[in-house]
Amino acid sequence: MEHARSWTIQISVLSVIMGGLVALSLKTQDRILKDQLPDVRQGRLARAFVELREDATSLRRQVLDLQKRLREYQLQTGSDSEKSKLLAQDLMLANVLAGTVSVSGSGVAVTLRDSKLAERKPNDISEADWRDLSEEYYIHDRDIRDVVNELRASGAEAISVNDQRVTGLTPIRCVGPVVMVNDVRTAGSPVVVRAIGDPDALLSGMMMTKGVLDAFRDVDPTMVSIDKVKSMTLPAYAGSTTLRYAKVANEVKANEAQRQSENAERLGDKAVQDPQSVIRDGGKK
Amino acid sequence: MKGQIWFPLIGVTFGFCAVYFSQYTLSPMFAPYLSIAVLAALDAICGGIRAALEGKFTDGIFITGFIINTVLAALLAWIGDKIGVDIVLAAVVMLGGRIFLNLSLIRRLLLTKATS
Repeated sequence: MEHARSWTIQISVLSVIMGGLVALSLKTQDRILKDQLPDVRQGRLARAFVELREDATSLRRQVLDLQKRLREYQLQTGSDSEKSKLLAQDLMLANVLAGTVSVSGSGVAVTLRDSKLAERKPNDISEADWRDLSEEYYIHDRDIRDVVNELRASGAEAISVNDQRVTGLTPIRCVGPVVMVNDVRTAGSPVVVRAIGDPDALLSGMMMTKGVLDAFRDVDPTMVSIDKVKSMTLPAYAGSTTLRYAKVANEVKANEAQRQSENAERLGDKAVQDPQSVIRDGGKK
Repeated sequence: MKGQIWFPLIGVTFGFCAVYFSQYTLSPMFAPYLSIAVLAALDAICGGIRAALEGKFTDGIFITGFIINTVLAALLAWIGDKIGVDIVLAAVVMLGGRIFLNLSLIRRLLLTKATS
């Protein structure tokens, strides 16, 4: 009996250890699977990506063609009668504002470049620290958005970033070393922002003290260059123009929204006169 | 005897749950050594049960067998890693074969005990 208990205990203890080992092994294996991307699929993904990109390019060309044809039709109907001529003019204006037609005119071209100083890492700074310190030598998406915003504030009528037309719904963001504009990948440096508008007004907006580009001039003046352009042509927006969610509001709702926006304006006036009221009253009337 | 045979099973379940639901994980680097250790433990348990059923169980042999086997297998895995040959397969085949052998012997012993 004594003998029997001895082996039971020992085997049971080892069983506990083995159970633990199995569990540990499972967890580790899980982690390995989670950490690693399945290598096998990368080749297939790359091929699919290339194909899709080619498809996207040809589809974009199709969109442009169709838009061109649509405008031709619009112009044709415009020549029919006085009334439809006015309509066609309105439509053209809306197209220009929406960015769905190519436009020409005078304006400025702002070129943003990553600084060459970013490559000159001092020897006494570690790789990781330099990554943080050299941040200011690179152009970021927020800088591009700032420039676009400032150009709009200075009265730009049409803007493009790296020859992608900026519309009311255009996202501008960095993904690694490239800038995505309208979900098209473009070069991350140099980034060329073109704006059509009054060249002097646009230029002064860009040169403003404490303005969006001031920080760059302090860091490295070669990062920014601004040129007045007598005549340039911005491309049309070539992305999707279908709406799935937004509908034109009916009159009652439109009036309600208009009242809201007027109310917001009043709140703004109030905030100017009495800045503390914003904190005190919150959003209440 | 009949009651005792369940203890190892309960032990395995307990150990599994204890580690599985804890926060503890190992670096993926040790994954191959871990699977070898699991095999060595399973082999030692099967061997131990068989020895016990045959009435030849000896304290020292059981524990040292487990430890030496694990260390040797881990060593083989490590050397194999260094020289680029999966020597660890030798340990896996050896231990696996022994587990099957011991299991069949355990089955035979239990069956003969049950019938006699």
